[in-house]
Amino acid sequence: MLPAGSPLLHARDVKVHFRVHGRIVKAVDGVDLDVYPGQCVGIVGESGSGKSTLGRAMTRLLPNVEIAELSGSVGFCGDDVLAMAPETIRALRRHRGLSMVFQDPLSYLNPTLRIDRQLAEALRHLADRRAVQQKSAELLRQVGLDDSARILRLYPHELSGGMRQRVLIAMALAPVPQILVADEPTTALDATVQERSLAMLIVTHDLGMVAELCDQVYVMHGGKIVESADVFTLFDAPQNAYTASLLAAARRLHQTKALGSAATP
Amino acid sequence: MSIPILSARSIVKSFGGRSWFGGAGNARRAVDTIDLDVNEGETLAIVGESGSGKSTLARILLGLAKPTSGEVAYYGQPLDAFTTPDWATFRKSVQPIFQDPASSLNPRMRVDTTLSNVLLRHRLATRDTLDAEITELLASVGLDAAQFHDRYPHQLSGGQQQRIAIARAMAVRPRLIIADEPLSSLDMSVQAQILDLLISLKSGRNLGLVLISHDLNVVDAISDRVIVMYLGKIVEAGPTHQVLGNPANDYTRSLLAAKLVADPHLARERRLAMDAAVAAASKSGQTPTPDMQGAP
Repeated sequence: MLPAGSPLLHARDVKVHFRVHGRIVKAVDGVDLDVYPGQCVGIVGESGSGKSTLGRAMTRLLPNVEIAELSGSVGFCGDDVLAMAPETIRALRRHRGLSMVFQDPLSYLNPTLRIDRQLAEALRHLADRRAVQQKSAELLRQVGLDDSARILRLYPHELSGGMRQRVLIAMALAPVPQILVADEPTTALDATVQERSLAMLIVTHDLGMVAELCDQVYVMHGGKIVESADVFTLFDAPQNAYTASLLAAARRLHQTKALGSAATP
Repeated sequence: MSIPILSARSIVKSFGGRSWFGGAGNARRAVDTIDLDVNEGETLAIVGESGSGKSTLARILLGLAKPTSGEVAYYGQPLDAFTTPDWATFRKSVQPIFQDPASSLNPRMRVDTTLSNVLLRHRLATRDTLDAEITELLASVGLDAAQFHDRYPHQLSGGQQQRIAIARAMAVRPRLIIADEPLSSLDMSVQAQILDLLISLKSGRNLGLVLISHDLNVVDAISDRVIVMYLGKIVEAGPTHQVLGNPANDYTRSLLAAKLVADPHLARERRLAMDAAVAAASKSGQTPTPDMQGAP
């Protein structure tokens, strides 16, 4: 069990270096990060900042390329995720609540199976088919897909991109996770955030989403955390020049004419 | 009022459900009886959430998909009645920009090849003027030709790729650009740059633009008129300031309520207000905020 006041998931001096065409790419280069129970933490950065790699290192789902260095530690409920045996990490994902949702939903859904079969796979722990059906419908409702009877009978290619990601989130929620790591999620997450005290680690480039959902924010650039703060401090008084430039771009995009000037302080 | 560049009348596109005997069966209408006009120099935004049929509509407007019924007309002339030369004119004056620039560029073609193919195909340059044209085109999208002309798509960042896709669309001096989520695969700082680029390009040359987007911030920044789509139907249409500033439809309101703002204070305030509204509504036994899945 977790001692009170300690983080649910934490990274200490995590380094992930890839070898690409003989060169070393320091995708993640010495990162410390904490996610406390019930907290929503954002990792923001632009493409190439290493934020996705960090997110995947936290769940030990690193891409299948040559890794030159993988060091540091990722603690989850007192265990080091990076040092775990494959069977242990599988058990961790299945029974102890470390779920991940990926960026590109189509490549993580089986194109030859209807949604009901894929959800059933995530619900293997349930006793009988009735229970699986009920739970499937409930999970879809939870991610805002109310038309579950129809959606369960569809194949992934028949769903829109947003619906696919909602299905993936539903699958990630199936084992009743303690923490959900989401890489570039759509806004379907906000419904789930409100409903349970689930901790979340959101990897995104969208500062709008960070402002909406996150309590704590880490800004990543070139494999390093350049700034971390609670969401209000970060938006009100960024300390780092790179953070400030990201915020300026976000405000340019969120600058509103018709919607009133309230959105741009 | 002059003739619109592109007009659509009662467009229906349904998928699936074809029975053996040619009946419509349980087909789903992705686009359901849509009418719209795009005028010269005007920016029309089509908004809606995923699955609302906006991308299907874009494909129909581009002539890339045939509607199940209804008619698209280019300067009053229906696409159905097009001859081959008509299509050539149409393809030249109505240009697409897609969401994912990486997959809309040929990975085996250098930037200059991509652009010169278009210029030569439409006889907009000769071998002699080609280099100058390419340099100018790249400059118009903010890229230095000396640096970028011999790059392959994979050697470019997402923003640079989208700039090339825009340069390719602009190469034929189109009257209308149909852009399907042109910003949504890009980083935020790059989105801001590309948005400014689109605004500057269209203001310079009386270019019509149909912008398909789910991002109301972008729509607000660039468009003159907005069409809000839901389950294949238009639920609200009008000038941008009116539709976004004073929406008449519940679904439009719920879209606006779901819009992300890059301000945590405002976001929290809004969420508290929303929770209060939900609590109040559940006390009085009504459904809270308009249900995104149900009928608007």
